[in-house]
Formats: sequence, C-alpha cells, structure tokens
Amino acid sequence: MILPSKKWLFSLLFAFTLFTMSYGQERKLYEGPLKVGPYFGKAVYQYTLVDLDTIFDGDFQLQKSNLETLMEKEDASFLFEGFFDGGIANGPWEFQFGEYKTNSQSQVVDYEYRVLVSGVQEIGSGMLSEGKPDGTWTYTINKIKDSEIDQVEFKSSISFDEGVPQQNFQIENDSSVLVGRLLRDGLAHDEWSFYGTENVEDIENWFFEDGLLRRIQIKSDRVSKEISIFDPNDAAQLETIPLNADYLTLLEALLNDVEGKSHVSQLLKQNQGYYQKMSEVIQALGSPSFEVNMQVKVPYYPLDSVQKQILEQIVSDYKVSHKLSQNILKNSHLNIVKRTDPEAFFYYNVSQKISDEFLSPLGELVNYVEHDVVQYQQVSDIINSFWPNGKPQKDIIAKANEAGEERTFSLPSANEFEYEGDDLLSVAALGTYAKMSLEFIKGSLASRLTNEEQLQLLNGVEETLIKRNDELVQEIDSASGLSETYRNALAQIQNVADSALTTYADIENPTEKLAYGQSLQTCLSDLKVLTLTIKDIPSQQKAIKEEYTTAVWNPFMANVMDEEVKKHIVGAYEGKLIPYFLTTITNEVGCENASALNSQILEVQQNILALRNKDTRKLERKLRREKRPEEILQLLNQELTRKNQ
Amino acid sequence: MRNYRNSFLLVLLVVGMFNLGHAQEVLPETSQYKEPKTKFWVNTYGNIRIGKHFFWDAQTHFRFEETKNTPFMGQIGQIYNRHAIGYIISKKTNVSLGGVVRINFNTDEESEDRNVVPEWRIWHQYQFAMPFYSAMLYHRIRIEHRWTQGFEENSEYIFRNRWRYMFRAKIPLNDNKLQPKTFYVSPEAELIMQSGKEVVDSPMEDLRLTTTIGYIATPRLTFAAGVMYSQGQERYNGGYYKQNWTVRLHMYFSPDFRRVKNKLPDVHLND
Repeated sequence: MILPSKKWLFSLLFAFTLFTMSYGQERKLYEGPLKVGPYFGKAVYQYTLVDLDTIFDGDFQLQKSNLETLMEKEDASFLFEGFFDGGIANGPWEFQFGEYKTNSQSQVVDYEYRVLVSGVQEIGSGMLSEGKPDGTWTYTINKIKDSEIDQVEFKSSISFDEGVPQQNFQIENDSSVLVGRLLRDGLAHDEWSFYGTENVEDIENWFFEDGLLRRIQIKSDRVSKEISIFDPNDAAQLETIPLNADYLTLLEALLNDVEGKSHVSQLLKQNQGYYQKMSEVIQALGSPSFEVNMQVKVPYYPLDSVQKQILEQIVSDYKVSHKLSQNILKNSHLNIVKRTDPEAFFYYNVSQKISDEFLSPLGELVNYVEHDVVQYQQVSDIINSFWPNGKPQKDIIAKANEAGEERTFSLPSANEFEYEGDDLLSVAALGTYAKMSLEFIKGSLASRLTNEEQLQLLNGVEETLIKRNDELVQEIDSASGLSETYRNALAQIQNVADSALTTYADIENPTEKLAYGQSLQTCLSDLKVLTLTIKDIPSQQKAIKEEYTTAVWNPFMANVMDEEVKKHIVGAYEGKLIPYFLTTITNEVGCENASALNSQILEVQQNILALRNKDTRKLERKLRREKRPEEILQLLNQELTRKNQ
Repeated sequence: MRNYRNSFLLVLLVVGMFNLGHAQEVLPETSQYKEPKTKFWVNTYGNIRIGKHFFWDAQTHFRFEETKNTPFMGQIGQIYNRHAIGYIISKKTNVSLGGVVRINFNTDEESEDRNVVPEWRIWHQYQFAMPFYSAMLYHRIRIEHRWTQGFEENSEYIFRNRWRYMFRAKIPLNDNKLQPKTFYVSPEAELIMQSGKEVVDSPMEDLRLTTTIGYIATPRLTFAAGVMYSQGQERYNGGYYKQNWTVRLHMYFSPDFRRVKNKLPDVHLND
C-alpha cells in the first residue's frame, strides 16, 4: 500500500531506476575481428552490456575480403550488414557472399588502384522486424565478369508480413521462372506456374486449393502430362505443414517414376537453401532464425504408437543390415577371394541382391521416416510403390560362378517369415529377414574374411591392390584402335595381374601374404605404367616419324616437300623394335621385368629422337644389314655412348 | 675487216651451195610441211646443290631418230651436254648461266661428209613458278648464243641467237599437292625463235607442244615420260616446215652433298 505522502519517494525511485537502466544500456562501439559461425572477418558494431553479456544493439557490420588471396588465386568474401534492437535483428539487412577471381591486371583511376574481378556474387536483402522477415525480400545471384554483372543466375522475390509470406512471389534462374501465390496466412493457393524463359514450351504448373496440392501439370517437348497429387476426399483429415525439404521429399515420392525431377521443387529447394544460409548467420548472432515459411496442407493418416514402434524397429534393423551389407560388399579381401572361391562368389552375389532388392527400398522408407513424412501417405501405397512387382522372394537366386550357373539361398528358418502383406509389420518382417540373412552370410564367410586383426593389417594393402587392379583394367579396357600384337601384349599384362592376385589370395600365412601383397602393389603399378607406355607407342611412333621428316626444296617443282630422312633408323624402330617389344611383353612379361621392359621402350624412344641431328652414316649402314632386334638395340646404345664421349 | 668479209663470202658461198644442192631458194606459194620425223630422247636433268643459293645444273640428253627401217630410235642424232651455275633467288625464282656442248651426228645416210661435229652455246635462263590451286605453273625464258657448223669438211661456224619461251604446268593427279608418291601431268608449250645473219626468212625455229606424265618418287628423284610434237621453219627456206614426233623420257635428280649443318636453312632462303 502506497501512502499519498510518500508519492514523491516513488517518483524518485522510478527516475533513479530509469537512469541506472539507461546508464547500463549506453551503446558502445566495437571494432575488431569477430567469428560468426563459419565466418571470420572484421566487424564494426554497436552493443550494450547487460550483466556482462554483450547484446548487439544498433548498427552491425561484419565483412571479409582479402586482396592477397584474390591476386593469388581466388577470394571468398562476405559482408553482413544490418541493425539490432536489444539483441534481436530489426531493420534493413543485407547478406553478401562472393567468390572472386581476378586477371591480376590493375589500373590506376584517380588515386585508386583498381583490379577487375570475375566470379559470383550472392546478395540477400530485406527488412527484419523483431527477427522476422517483413516486406519484400530478394535473393540474387549474379555472375560477375570484369566487375560488371554478366548474367543473373538466380533471383527470388518474396513479400512477407511479420514472417508470413504473402501475395505473389517469384523465383527465377537463368533459364526459367516460377511465379506463385500465397494466402494471407502463408498457405499456397491457386496456380503456381513454372516456365522456361528461353524454351517457353517447358511448363510445369502446380494447382493448389487452399494449401492442398491437387495436381501437377507438366508439359515438355509438346507432351503434356497431368498428375493427381492429393484428393481431399481420400483423407479423413488434413494437416498444415511448412513447405520445406520434408514436403518436397514427400512430393518426390509421389512423383517418383512418373516424372523424374520437378523443376518447381528444385527452384523451391534452391531458394530455401539460400534463406537457410542467411538465417544461419542471424542465428549465430543470437537472433531467432527465419525461413521462407510457406505453408501447405497434406492429407494426414496418423500413426498409432504400435506403428511408430514398428517404424523404429525397421529403421534400426535397416541400419544394422546396411552396415552388414557394406561390410561384405566393400570387404577388399573378399573381393579378391571371390575371384577364385565359388562359395565366396555366391555369397557375395547374394549379398548384392539383398542390398538391391531388400535394402534399397527399405532405405527409402527410412528416408521418409527421417523426413517425418510417413504419416502423410497411406502405408499400403508406400509399400506398393517400393515393390511394384511384389516383394522379393525368400529364396534368393544368385550366380554361383563366373560361368553363370545359379544357386539358391534361403535362411534355414525362412518358413518362420511371412512378409507378403502390405502393412508395416510385413515390412518389418522383410527387414528382419534381410538382416538375418546377411548375418548368416557373414557367419558363413567368417573363415574367408579371416580374423579381424589380420584383416586390419592386410586391409590397407588390399584396398590398394583392388584400386590399382581396377586402374589397370580400366587402362587396358580403354585401349582402342590397336592392332592384334598390341592387344595380345595388353591381354598378357592382364593375365599376369590376374594370376598374381590369385596367388595372393591363395597364400595363407599372414606374414607371407603381407609381404607378397606389398610387392604386388608395386607390380600392379609397374604393369599399369607399362600399359600406358604400350598404348602410347603409336603416338610416339608418329612423333618420331615427324621428327625424321624434313622439308626439302625441290628445284624442279619449285616447292617444298617432306622428306623422310635416315630411313634405316626409323625403319629399324618401326619394323623391328616395336614388334620385338610387343612380342617380348606377350611372351615374357611378369612382375619382375615389367618395369625394365617399360624403361627399355622409353629409352629407345629417347635414343632414336636423340640421334636425329647426329652424324649417323655408319650406324645407318650397319642397320641396313642388321635384322636382329637385340643387335639393333645394342647398335643404338653403342652409337649413343660413343657420341656422348 | 678483210678477214670478216672473206669469211662472210665463204659462208654465203657455202649457203649458196647448200641451197643449190636442195634447189629451194625460192619461197613456195604456200607453206610446205615435210613428212614428220620420229625421234626418241632420253634426258637426264641434274640439279646439284652446291651452296645456300647456288646449284650446278647438269643435263645430259641422248637424242635418237628414225632410220628407214627403225622408227624413233634407229640411230643416234645428238648427245647433248648442258651445264650451268644456277642462282636461287627465291623458292619460286631462279636464274642460270652456263655453256652447252652438243655432239651432232650426221644422220644423212647418204652423206659422204664428216660423221660428227661439235656445236657450242652460251646460255642463260630465267625461271618463274606460280602456284595455281593444286598445280604449279612455270614460265621459262631461255636465251642461247649458238655456234654451229655443217658436216662438210672445213665448214665454218655460223652464229645465231635463240630466243625461247616455255610455258608449262604440272598438275598432280592422285594428290592435291606435288609431293612424293604423286603422279602428275604436265602440258607444255615452247616457242623457239632465232635471229642472226644467217636467219633470213625463218625466225621460227621450233614450236614444241609436249605432254608428259611424271612420277615424283622422292623429293630428290622424279621420272617422266611424254610425247612431243614440234614444227619449225627450215633455215634455208622459210616456206618449208619440218615436223617431228618425239618420245621423251626424263629423269630429274637433285642430290645435295653439302654437310648437314650447311643444309639446315634449306627452305628459308631469305630468312
């Protein structure tokens, strides 16, 4: 109870409190380095101190641009500018992100050094009111060439009212435009049209009714398709959710197999990404995050607690199975063993089938669970979309050997599993069957997977072996347009690699295996280098031929003609040495001599080129008579050592 | 002066005698074409590089002609040695100056005179080449100062100038460029005019129309063969025209014996 006589005291107290508060809130200026999320730059901002906490209050600016890195390579710059009101973003804001390069040429204009830059500049700007977007927000990506805007690669323009998007919005990229309408509460409404700016034939229209997407019309290459999406009569209830990545995942599931990727969906996703980028900055500064926040309605089929539990089980089983299948399929030792061991080969193939037919649809379901969109579709529809031709058999048929014979795998307890139905329980049973099958396979392969300790020792070696062998195979397979002698040589190299890998797989003693594996690494890379050299012989041959061709003036024709010179040297190389190299490789190549053969070929090419401008009359005379490649090699070597003295 | 007059009189006498022998001193009312003779020439052309700008032009020709029983190559007519030092002005232009010694064999089977007499020439030549699409065109101006004598014992030399212009094309047949392994066809026309005291009413000594087919074996070796038709005024009476059909074989060779290091600026003469 306040007595009238003490009224003045109250006023005094009030004034004092006000004074101290305003004293405590006196704005200060900070200038210096600041790290905001991943962005580290130079900041200038006003702030107040409240209980020793820094509260942004007033102007804020954070920027980074580095001339040195720009001149050296390229510079990633940024600039964030805006206002805070008591720690909450309030007022006009601008976010700039740039990636620039320069041609390193500068000019002096007045008293400034100028360098022209090229690259990409992103600018997002608009008003934030109490942390929420208000008014028109634009996000633009410009391609910059020589410090001028060369092309607008992306531009979105959305009107907000206290965080709720309103009216019309527009999102465009360099080749298309999306225009859409929103209700006052942010709900998508009416027709959203997407059309190509260059190719006006490409059209995609989304038809919303009060937030519910009824149908999508897609027209491309004069073919028009209409896809029904949601029907209000199908679902007992509708739920309003934000139009975000989850919703787009749901749409992709519905559009799946009907029409590849939706252009509208991609533009929306792209735009959301940019809003998120801005929001992350704001969030890191302690102000609430913001988003595009468009709203849509979706049919809602609530899941009961049992269903939720089953979903959880499906997810956890899937994760175990996925890991198991990766362990088996990516196991480098198994990859080597399966070349020679039919049992390993068979189980490997079964695992592959399980991964393709059981796990990859389950993976999609897990994706839905993670995006929280299962409840917006009929469970039976989801299941039928994963396995349109029915679920895979419990008897899994796979190749038993390279010849293509087949064998059937099934779990001993297969009879206990029933997963024919189209409810979640069946899917869970299918998931369990896959998991148990993989566990069974892993058990069967245990002896071949060797024990964990040895595996770890050998793992690095084997990964390298597989990688190098793959590279070798790729090099050999990609050879084209070569004659039979070349192909024979390459085939022999492949044989050497294959048999060496088999030898490796057959070694049981881990110490020996490791030693052999290490030498095999060198061998495979030697073989690869040799393969490259062989593939390069025709172009080397051409280079030598060109080198040994000279321009000669013909007095009778009064023109200049190409003349082959020192034909016996080139002839010996082409006619004797190349065939000799190739047959030697075909007959004798192995891990121990691959490197030597390679250097021999390269050395001879070098030698021949070196002899071009030397006096080689004696050598040519000898080469004319000499037919034996070994002797020719010796003659070439002698010639060069003689010359070098 | 006296000597000169004497020799002039002597020449007149010889010419008169010759003309009397042929009884053709009066021009016929219309031009008279003689029966064509058939001939066979084997020609070698050497072009031997001796310096950056200089070459030695060495040509040897063996010229046969018909006898009563054997057409074309019944007997040897002339052996012909032409030599010169050439100067390469550019890839397309060269000039030469040199001498010719030609051995003329008496092909008149009934003649009692000498069998062999030499003939001397000093010659200079200017050659220009022009690329034309895939072909090459050539203009050749050749000027010869020529001393000849008859087969009669003690016959005097007479002096004449020859003015020759030849136009020739070489058109590659199996290629778009004249280069090794290429066949080419070469039509050519050469007009040989003559002048000198002895030339009274026969300035057109020869008009040669030739077509050859050639093969460029290497940049330094080319072979060609062709047929030439020619006609020209008899010196003793311009009203009479001799005619020839000649089969010609040619070998062109251009060795270069310079050391490698001297050869290097082979193409770029003016760089």
